[in-house]
Amino acid sequence: MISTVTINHVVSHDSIARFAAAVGASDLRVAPPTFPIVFLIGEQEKMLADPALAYDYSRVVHREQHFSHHRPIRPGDQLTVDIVLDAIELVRGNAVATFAIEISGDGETVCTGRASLVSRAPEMAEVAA
Amino acid sequence: MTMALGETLTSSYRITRDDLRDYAVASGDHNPIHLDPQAAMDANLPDTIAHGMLVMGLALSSVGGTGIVRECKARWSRPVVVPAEGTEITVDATVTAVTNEGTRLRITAFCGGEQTMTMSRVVVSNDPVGEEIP
Repeated sequence: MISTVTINHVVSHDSIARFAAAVGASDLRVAPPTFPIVFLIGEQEKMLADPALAYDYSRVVHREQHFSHHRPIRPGDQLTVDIVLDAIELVRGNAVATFAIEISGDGETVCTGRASLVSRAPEMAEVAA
Repeated sequence: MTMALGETLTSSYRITRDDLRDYAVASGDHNPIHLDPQAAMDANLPDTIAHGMLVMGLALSSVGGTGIVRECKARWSRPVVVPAEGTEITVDATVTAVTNEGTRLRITAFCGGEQTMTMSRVVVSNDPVGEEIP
């Protein structure tokens, strides 16, 4: 583990409505399955901004994302979000950062996930496969 | 989900730079490679690209209609380039299993005939929306 962060996030109806509209989802009673990115992406970027990591975020694209939902996220949910930066490894010159995510509410697991982001090597035109 | 085993649902989505701006605001992902052609080119990309998570979100919306997505794992193989005139993606969702936990699908997104994202295992619960997943 490189670093870990815990945040609290209260889910608003507006944030679900805005996100649902952006991804073409029509049901506003529950959040779309990729909604957790709303409270993950900024924290992940901050964790990678640690100067000791020398990680070039300007060259980042998404490589993999996994969500396993134990129950849907709903408006009004008060969530606790644990984000662990597990590793940064070089894959053919590209720097792949891997995160483990656990989201809970009222002491129960709501969602677990993993993410990997890749900072593409300057000389490579294609995204790492 | 009302799809049968082996059935494939194909959906198309037009993606414009306005959509990328809307998604950036909605998701909080303000990475300039999605908004500024120069920033994209500085990062060795041909032009602005769509957020991978936008492609994933649209692909899941194509099957999310009547159930709850319990499980989804996406892998991106190449970016969706969004020039000034916009672009189009096609999403194929094929039912690979019908189980007591729900409908299992494989979802693949294409742009310009090339594969851009694959979700090898998506599980959509049969429970009505709003009910707890046991």
